[in-house]
Amino acid sequence: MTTLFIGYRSNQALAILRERMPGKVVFLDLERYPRELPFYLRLSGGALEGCLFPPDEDPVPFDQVSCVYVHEICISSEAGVGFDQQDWAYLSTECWASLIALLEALKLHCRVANSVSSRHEVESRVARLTALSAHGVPIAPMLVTSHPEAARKFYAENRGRVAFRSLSGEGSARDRAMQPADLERLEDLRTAPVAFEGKLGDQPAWLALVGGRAILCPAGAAPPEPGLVQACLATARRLELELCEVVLRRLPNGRYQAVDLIPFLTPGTLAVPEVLEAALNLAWEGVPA
Amino acid sequence: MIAVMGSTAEPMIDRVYTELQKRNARVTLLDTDQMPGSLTLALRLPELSGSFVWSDGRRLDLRTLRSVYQRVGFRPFQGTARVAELCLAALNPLLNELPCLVVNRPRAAHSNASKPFQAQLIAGQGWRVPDTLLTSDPELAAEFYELHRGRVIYKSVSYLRSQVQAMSPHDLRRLETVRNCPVQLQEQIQGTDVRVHVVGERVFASQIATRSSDYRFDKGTSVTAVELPPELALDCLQLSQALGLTMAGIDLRITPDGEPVCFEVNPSPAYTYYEDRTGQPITAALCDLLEWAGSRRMAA
Repeated sequence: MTTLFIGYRSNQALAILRERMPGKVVFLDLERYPRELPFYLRLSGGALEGCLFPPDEDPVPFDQVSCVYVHEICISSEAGVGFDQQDWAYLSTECWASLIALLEALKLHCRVANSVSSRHEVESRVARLTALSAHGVPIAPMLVTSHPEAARKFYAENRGRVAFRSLSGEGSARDRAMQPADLERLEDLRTAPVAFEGKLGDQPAWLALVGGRAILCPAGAAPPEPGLVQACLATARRLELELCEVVLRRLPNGRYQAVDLIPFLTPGTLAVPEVLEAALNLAWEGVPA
Repeated sequence: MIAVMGSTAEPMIDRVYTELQKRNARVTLLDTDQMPGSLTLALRLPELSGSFVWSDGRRLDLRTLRSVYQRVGFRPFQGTARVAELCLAALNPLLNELPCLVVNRPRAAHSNASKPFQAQLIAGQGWRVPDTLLTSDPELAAEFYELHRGRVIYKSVSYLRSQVQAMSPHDLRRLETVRNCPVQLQEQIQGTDVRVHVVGERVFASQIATRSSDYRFDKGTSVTAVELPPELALDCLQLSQALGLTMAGIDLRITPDGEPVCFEVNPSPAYTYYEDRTGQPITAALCDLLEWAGSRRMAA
């Protein structure tokens, strides 16, 4: 059986897992996709089969894959060399849609950490927090707006303890605490919506969610309420995240609030032996029920 | 309050809004062409409360919403593609979690992002789907062509609109290009095209007569309303429900021996094309559904 890793060589978390994974490991380097990573997926008479042909490796039939670790499925700009902008836009979307089909087909044979079909629901911080909140996880107060007055009111309600948060992606260099001077330029909001997060504070702990397990990090942190842990696990299950982290903030009353959900494990969390072991063991646990 | 959210340049948005106005329903148009500058959103989490605010001071409280018909993301917002991305990052979570009927929730539409993925879901519901090969290997593509004796079509893998084309011997000479971009090949299915619109629990079927592999690009196409056998209508209803869709446009081909083959389920069907040609009351059915959901919530 083969454990597949899909992503970029620069991804540290994938590299940590790949280096320590026992057994046969194949790395599909997205820098080489699609030109040097031929594949097929066949759907015929209700049956599904597929095979990957990584360079310098034996072919990998889907039914020989025990687990897939995939961090991201962005198409490398290398794939666009020689194409104009319009063709590149088409090509990258088609390559991306093909990867979704491949990974979803692999899900029938093995565990895929993480599934890509619900990826759009973890692309923005607002989506991630909304998903956590929908499952009962307490989250930090947030305002998403392009309305200057609403932002001004939120700032006042939170007594100036407010941060700008990027609406897309997994965070941005522009994420920062809001300053009084920012109130003067709130009219700029009308050009694009922004997320504001209230009640800033320390983020002393986080939950590493691995398969059906929740591991509190760091080990000595005050434990969160069981209900919060179960709600985080339920969110991860619904979003089909086998590997993720929920970043927690502790309020003065001792209760935790989630401030973000990271849809994979970070290198820092994989440095925790218990987390690393659980993440590696996922490869042998079979398809989730 | 019923919200119709999308660009007024889209006929479906215009038609649903106009119909609801004619019915004197409590309806608001949330025109995405005016977002984010002239029509702003203030969304509060975790309460999922807040409002849309127009530049003239009018305000729509999100808590008053009873149902939403949305076609967000099909037309540009005010500003660049990046602004559109940010607007969608704000609107999609709201539409996914609003505690009222949303036709359709963005998360339910996602299966259409990858057609071979959606085909897996459709086949999983017991439908016949065409023999399909997704590949970036020229030799395997050529083998598939031979296997089906040249009766093969190709079409896009993603949600991007493309013309379904019959593969020709000439295409075999340019198969090397699939190394740059994977291709989806399908066996050509003989039969009659039928487009089925599911709206809530109602089913509208249109039969399409064309000489083209893709009737959307054939000016000689004729569209007529047909009744589906009750079992097939029920299968269509169950398929859209399984995909989490309240409204769907299902593309079928009925083979000469009567077997339905499912090609695709469109989560945001441009149904006015069919309504105009058949007179089927699809807009009315959608408005009934939006009003019914509103009255149900009021009663609850």
